Amino acid sequence: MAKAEKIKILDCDDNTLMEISKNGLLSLSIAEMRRIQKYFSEIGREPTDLELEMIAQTWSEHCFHKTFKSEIKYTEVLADSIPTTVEIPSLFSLIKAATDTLNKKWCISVFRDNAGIIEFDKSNCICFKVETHNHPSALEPYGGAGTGIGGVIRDILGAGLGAKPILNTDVFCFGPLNISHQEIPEGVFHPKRIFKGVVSGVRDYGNRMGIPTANGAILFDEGYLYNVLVYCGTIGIMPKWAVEKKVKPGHLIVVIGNRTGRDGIHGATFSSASLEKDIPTSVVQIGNPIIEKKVLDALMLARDEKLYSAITDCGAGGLSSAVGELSQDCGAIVHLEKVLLKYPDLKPWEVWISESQERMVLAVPPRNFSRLKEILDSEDVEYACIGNFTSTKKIEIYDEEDLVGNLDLGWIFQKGELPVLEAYFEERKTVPIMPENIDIEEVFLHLISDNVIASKELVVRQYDHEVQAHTVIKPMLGVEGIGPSDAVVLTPLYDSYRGIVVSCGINPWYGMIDPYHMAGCCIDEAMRNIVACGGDPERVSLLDNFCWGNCNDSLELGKLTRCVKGCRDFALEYGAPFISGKDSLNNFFTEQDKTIVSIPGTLLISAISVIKDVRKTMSSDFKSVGNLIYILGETKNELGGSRLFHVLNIEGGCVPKVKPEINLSVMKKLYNAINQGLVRSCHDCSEGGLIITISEMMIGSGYGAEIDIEEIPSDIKDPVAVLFSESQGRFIVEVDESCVDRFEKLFQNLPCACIGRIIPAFHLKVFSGDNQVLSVDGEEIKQKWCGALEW
Amino acid sequence: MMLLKKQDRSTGRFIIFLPPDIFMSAYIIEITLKKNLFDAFGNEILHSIRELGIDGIEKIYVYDVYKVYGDVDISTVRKIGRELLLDSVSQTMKVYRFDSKRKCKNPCVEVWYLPGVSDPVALTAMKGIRDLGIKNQLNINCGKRYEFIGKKLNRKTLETISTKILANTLIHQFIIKGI
Repeated sequence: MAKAEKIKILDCDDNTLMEISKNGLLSLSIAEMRRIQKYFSEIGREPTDLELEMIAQTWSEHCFHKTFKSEIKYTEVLADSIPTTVEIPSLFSLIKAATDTLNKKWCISVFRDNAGIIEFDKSNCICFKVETHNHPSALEPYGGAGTGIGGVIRDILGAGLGAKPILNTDVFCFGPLNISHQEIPEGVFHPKRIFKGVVSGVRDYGNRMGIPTANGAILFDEGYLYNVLVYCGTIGIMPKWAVEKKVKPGHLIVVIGNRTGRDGIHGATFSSASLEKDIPTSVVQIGNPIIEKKVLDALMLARDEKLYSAITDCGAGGLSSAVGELSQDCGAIVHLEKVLLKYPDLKPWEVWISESQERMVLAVPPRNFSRLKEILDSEDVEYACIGNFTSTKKIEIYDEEDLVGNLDLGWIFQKGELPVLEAYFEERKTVPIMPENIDIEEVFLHLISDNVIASKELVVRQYDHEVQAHTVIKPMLGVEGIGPSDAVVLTPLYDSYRGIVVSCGINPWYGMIDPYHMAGCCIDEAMRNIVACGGDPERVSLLDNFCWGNCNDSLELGKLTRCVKGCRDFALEYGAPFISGKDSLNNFFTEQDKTIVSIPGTLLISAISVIKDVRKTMSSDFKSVGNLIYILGETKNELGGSRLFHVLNIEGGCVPKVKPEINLSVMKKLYNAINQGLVRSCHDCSEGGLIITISEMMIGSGYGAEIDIEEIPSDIKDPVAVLFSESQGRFIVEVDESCVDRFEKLFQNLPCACIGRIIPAFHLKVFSGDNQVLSVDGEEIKQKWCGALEW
Repeated sequence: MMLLKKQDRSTGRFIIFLPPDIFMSAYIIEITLKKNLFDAFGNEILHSIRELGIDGIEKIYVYDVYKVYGDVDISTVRKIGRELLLDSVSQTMKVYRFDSKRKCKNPCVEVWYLPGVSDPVALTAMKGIRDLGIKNQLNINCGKRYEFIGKKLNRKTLETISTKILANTLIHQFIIKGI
């Protein structure tokens, strides 16, 4: 191994300190460099390159979440209100406040492990984590997305003492697929290439690991042209006794899985920077699902024999981060020469921060090591014991006999003096002008083939969503298996009907108008999707994933702050705690003329609900001719950020505002109705409005529908607004005539109306009283919806 | 041949490194779909090329290419190809001695990982080779070859196809042949 070097910083001025940070790709600020200089001045020596790298990884935005941990001075200027300025202790504290206030007993381990852990039944827990892998996927779509899903699977393997992954989720945001190649700047891939690469990467990694990928969403917008968003989630199941991990001095540090190379070096600090034209090769990681599958199998055996006391994955920051986190409360001695390498001549700091994939770090009591080795050998998993935990509260890193790193863990993990950040949000009210004489049929056919709304079967079918045989409600359903599902339902245990329902909510276009209400809409949508499939709205846990642009800009940070406030407020209103989350900031591209192009602020809400009996769940396809079609929830003139405004190129307008009290009441009643067998099919109203919802229910069944929009609970009369409004909290529900009385009684005093009937002809007919406003053949709808997205 | 050997103290295992530029013997295993079968991957590439606005290519043959080098003879390489890499129902295989100046009848682009980039398929292939009982000191690199049939293509067009569709120069190198 090459030798470690001393870096002279003690006598450096600010300019030289920043040069060291920039040239070393450390992404450390001047305040952080000064803090490092002070620490080493006090201990009377220069740092090694390894120590500087370790500090940079630990304090990186990716690992330390500086923006979410900083105090924020937030000024909000809402229309017709007096401007207010408040000091917020941190964005993270807002999110956590909702969970703490709700104090749900099913939350077993939240915001402290590699994943959020909730109770499943008396003996088992479910853990859920969603990660992002945006920068790597922009540079190498296949490898970046593959390692995104590989990384979040390892989060689940590293939650508690390890959970068995049972489901993957994926949500992608791409640039428009039809943009011409000439419009793509140098150094940026065409969205089509990114789309194919990302989907293939997630497909190949998930399928080869034998984990179903069965829930997600795909969005397209010009705002993602430079910076693709790749959200990857994994859910696992674990016994309750395996929730707690505990590292003790004397336990061995054992690294298992892949060997260490130069892959992904500076990945963590790289995430603190924007994308530019020239990127070093080393930040790219290449995944190997075969190795991770072997690691998974070996770990499950070793966990059940209780052979290790703690585990975590090697993610951003590599061994530096993994060993650092595990030894945080005790200390560790590490021998880098024992790390298994892919090739020789790596420098000690490269070994220490490499982000080579498929590696896990275990704390192993010495008496268990020989049995662990037997299991690892039997599963063909490579391993190396690289040191042991101590009680010194220091991390001491050796390369052969040389001490190449010796840092005080209390200091390195201590929250430094983070600057107070300024955030500013000003509401802008615009009055959109709707064109006159809109051709409803033309607009409808345009919308149904809009890539955001159209069928994602092309992608969904590439994923194995049946492997492990847990999937009950699948992503595509109905008589031909082409109808969309609102959520996925799984039975994690083969001998029980107890299940989980998993869904998501995302809509960046609302956030362009008001991020606060975007948060409300995303939570409402995720909850609606859960309930539409028969999930219990009173047993929902949420995950938040914020992908934002340049948060050094107070306006961007203002939008983020307003969004986080929305998350807190609406989580409290819906009684749904956040159990895990992640932020991915700095999703912006610096053009050659130094112009900064940020992504639309994007919030993904993932939701999970535990249900007692998967046999009492619901699908979205119409079931029987003659059954009545109901709408639940109010329809308002809320077209701001809607798909209709997008296709009509209209900006501004009223973004949907959720009414948690009414919406939650509707959800609870609907859950009861489904459980009582009063509902035959159910689908939530989201992008494109209720007419898209009804069309999708038709496509799933092959039956038609006849509706009268005058019956819809609404204070608007314009059929365009009624059909395409994206008001939240709404469902379309199929009810058998024999159940009508009981169904209507259940929804007394809530917005609920019968608006039509299922007809045998595969045809959509919409009336406004006696006037027909739309009549479209079902085959045309189906062709447009199914054939829009092209590979 | 010079082998770099290092023992890992914790496991007692030896790690052997074979520098790829030191060839005792080097062979290419070339595997492609039988000509009578529909090549979905080749057609997808063709579709993407047409989306770039490049016309005149009638067909693309896609080959998985494996460079096997080290202490190895052609019969062992054939065995590796036949028993490990080839699906004889749907694919055909050619094995020949590696020659960087080998002529190609039609314009071709070969895509390989850059040195130092992880090659998971090669890693799995090495495991498979050991499982076959082959103990020779050898190594393997995996790549793809795309052969273009139809209009004569110039280097600039092939470079455009390579950088826009076939290779990511951050992790791949591409070699243009047959023009």
